[in-house]
Amino acid sequence: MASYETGDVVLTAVEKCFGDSSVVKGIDLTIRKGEFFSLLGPSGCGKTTTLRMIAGLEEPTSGSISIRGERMNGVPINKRPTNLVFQKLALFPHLNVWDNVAFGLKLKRVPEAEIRTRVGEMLDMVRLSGFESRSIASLSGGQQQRVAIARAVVNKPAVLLLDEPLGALDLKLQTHLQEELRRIQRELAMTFVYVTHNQTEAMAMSDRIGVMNAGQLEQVGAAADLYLRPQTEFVAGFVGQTNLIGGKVTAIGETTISIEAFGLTFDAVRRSAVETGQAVTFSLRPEQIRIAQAGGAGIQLPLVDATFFGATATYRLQVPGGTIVAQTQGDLQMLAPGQTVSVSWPPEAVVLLTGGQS
Amino acid sequence: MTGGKALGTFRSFYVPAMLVGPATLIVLIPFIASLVVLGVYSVGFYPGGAGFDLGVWKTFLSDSYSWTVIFTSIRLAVIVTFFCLLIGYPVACALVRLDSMLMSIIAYTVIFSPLLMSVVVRSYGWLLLLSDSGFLNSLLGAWPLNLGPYRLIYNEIGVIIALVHILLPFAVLPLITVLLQQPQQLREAAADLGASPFAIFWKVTFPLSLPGVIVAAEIVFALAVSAFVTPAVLGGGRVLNLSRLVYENIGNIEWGLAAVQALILLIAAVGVLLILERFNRRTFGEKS
Amino acid sequence: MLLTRRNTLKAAAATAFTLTAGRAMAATRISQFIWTGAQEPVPRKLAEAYMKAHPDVTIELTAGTNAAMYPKIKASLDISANDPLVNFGFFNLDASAKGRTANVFAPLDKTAVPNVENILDAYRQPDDIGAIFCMDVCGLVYNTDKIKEPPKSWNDLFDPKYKGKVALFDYYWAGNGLVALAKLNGGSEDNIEPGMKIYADAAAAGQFHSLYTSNAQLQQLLVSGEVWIAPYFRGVALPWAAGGAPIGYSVPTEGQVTFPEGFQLVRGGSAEQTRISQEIINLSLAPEAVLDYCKTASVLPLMKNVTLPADLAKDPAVQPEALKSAINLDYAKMAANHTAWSDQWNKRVKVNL
Repeated sequence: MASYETGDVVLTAVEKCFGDSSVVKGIDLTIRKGEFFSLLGPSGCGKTTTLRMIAGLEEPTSGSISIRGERMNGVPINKRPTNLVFQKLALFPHLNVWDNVAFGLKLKRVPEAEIRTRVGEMLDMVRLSGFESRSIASLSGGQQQRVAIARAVVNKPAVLLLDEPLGALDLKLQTHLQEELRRIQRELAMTFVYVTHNQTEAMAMSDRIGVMNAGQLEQVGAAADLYLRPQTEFVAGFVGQTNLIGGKVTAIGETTISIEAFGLTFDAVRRSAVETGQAVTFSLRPEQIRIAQAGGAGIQLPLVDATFFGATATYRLQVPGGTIVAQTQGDLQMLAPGQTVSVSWPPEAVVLLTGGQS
Repeated sequence: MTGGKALGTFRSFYVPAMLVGPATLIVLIPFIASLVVLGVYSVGFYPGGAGFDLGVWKTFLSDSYSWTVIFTSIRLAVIVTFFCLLIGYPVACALVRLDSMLMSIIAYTVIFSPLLMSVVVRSYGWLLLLSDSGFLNSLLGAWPLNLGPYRLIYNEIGVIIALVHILLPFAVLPLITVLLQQPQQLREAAADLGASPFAIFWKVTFPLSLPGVIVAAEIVFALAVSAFVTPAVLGGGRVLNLSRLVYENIGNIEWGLAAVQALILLIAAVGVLLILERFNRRTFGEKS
Repeated sequence: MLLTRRNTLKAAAATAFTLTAGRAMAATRISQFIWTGAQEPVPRKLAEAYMKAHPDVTIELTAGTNAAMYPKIKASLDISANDPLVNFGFFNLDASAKGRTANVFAPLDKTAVPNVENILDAYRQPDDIGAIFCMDVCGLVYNTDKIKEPPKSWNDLFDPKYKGKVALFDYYWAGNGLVALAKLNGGSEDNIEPGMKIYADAAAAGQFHSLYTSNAQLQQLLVSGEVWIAPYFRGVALPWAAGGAPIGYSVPTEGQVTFPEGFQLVRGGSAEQTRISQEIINLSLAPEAVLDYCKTASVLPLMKNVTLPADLAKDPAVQPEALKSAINLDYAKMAANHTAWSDQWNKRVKVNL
């Protein structure tokens, strides 16, 4: 495994404004050497702008960006140790596959023999050997995608930047190329910064994920961290489905706290400092909720409706002033709307959201 | 079944035919008719002509003077095309990159307003600018240069300068079109792969704009090779091109000779266009 | 519904046709060709007066040059012998000679145009094909700032001190001195070689600044001082001088070249068009009309009953001796030789410029 010791890309208080509108509002981020890092967020959250600032296509309004310890502010795009895989690929239509991939090496005046070896190896790696003299227009979407990746990776950049490169492909191809990307990244032990709005994609590929919202980095962590221990409402809601519930701290125990919401009491593991009476929001993942026939352990709640999906089923449960959603393995089909059921969850499932700071 | 098929034919043939029909007729009928008339006249069939006779063709083509004129016409058109592209290309690049609306309006007006003016007027305008005592020579003759005066009109130089000015918009328009179609991302991608602005231009922008360059060259060449007014006004009798000969021979009521020369002018123009078109296809046809 | 509408349209079209046809029958349309510049005002004035007196007649005036107009007229008669592009107009002897050979012009009827009888006998045309009633003369036009002493000879055009300062008209044989020079050097309309050789040698030696194809070009060249001297028409140069330009006209001692001009009736018009055309020609040949024309256009009358007023008659160019020694060209032969001469002009003069 690659070393995670060094920060390969370090962003310090990076801001970007276009005219009056501020798109990136102060980001501090350290991306480790050799990791597959994803910037995840809805469209317009500033993730692409952040990527373009690392690439050198945009200059930050303030703050600094450094790569491998060198400050990048003011360094033109063609002098940066990064390469970018564009969202729309931006392959050169007047060049064939080979010339597209060799483009960067030729510019750097790499010796002809070395170009031949490296481009050949690269085409091997993306499984496009034999396509050297094909025109770009004659390739399928997936093949074009792999040329775009090869064209960037062949230059052995310190950091490979990818701007939603799989967005335009169909789901099956997407899944396949996700695996390919992951394989290439592991083989080369190269730092990848991957921008996507697709949380499944990010979770499937990334070592770590930074979730962005409205120009800010909400939380950085491994997929499981984000899912199991989201720190903000936005992260909890964006990464997977959840029940976001507002309540008040009623009791603080040694290892647990009690929160009152909808007139019900939710026990949670005590992780952060809270005070009695404090208003809090917590997340309760639907699949963490256990449902049993009425009269079992836990609280008794009426079932509003049930939707059966085969492998899973979801239930909406009536609470005073609203509903909460639960998801189970699809084996409780005997439950019918209107019925009262027993509902319970482990204290670890109640995750207190501590705010917007990242 | 038959009804459906008839409707299909109607849609696939008659509807497009009706849409392009009028334009095609307007363009094609006079063109073909005049070609037929020229062809018939050139072999001796015209009012007062002697009947079938290839003599005019033979005489014209075996005369070295004819070839001088043909080559002058083509050389002139090639030079004008070259300079139109050389000057028009940066202009088109600049126009495409203009951000300010006001600047764009001003620039487009300056470059394209000459199209609204008669060629005769513009040619006479150049007469005033380029004559020995004209604006340019007074500028060069003034302190501190004290140069000249240089003979800039009544020779090929004057005709070239004026034709380049007159035909420049015809070069700029197709170039603008092709440059506007070029995605900004391709230039970004080239820069990302390490290309300097210079390398971006030569390795991406320029090769991708070649189809536009060829279209521009075709239009300018076709107009320059058949230019009549400008060589007549600014050539001072020194610029011997084919269209001038055609005009003279119409004046001399030499229909046969005029027809031969007009056809040769057309053949020369079409020949060069075919070469350019072939070049276009060789560059881009195979790869896409 | 559709049928009804179609019928209505048909009816409307028919009505429109009747109206147009009716009007055409009532009015006669005459197309008259005139020259431009100083030659333009008098024919316009006469045409307007005629239309005022005859409201049923419309005269359309087309202004241009013989060189451009004559081929069009010839072509229009080739296409349709009964529909000439113009009914009558102003032509020089060059075009008159071409048109006589090509059967473009019709003879004038002496009874319809009695004023032809007043034309000087020497200029009366065979069969009265044309009424050549006035004459311009061609001599040396020069820039008075650059050439203080008026040039005296046709040979001045080839004087080395004017090297690169001489301009010539392209092809206009009467106006560019080619035929005159041939005659002065032992040639003639049948043997142009002595003149052609002088022009070819001078062209090769860089004597000529340029060849011009319009009056405006020569004016610009002379006024700017780029060209100092050129052979050309008195009638063109005098109005420029009168307008204040530093331009002079001088009579070469070897004689000026005469350039007779007048009306030609084009074949193919209707009887009514022919009648009206001849009536207007006759009116234009009236003494006061001729004098008006001669004064406006700086040309000389060729009429028995017209003499120039004293102030104009003083000009040395129009003195009887000057006109007696003038060089008369055979325009019929020039017209016949035009194509052959153009070919030589192209190959020996223009190529060597």
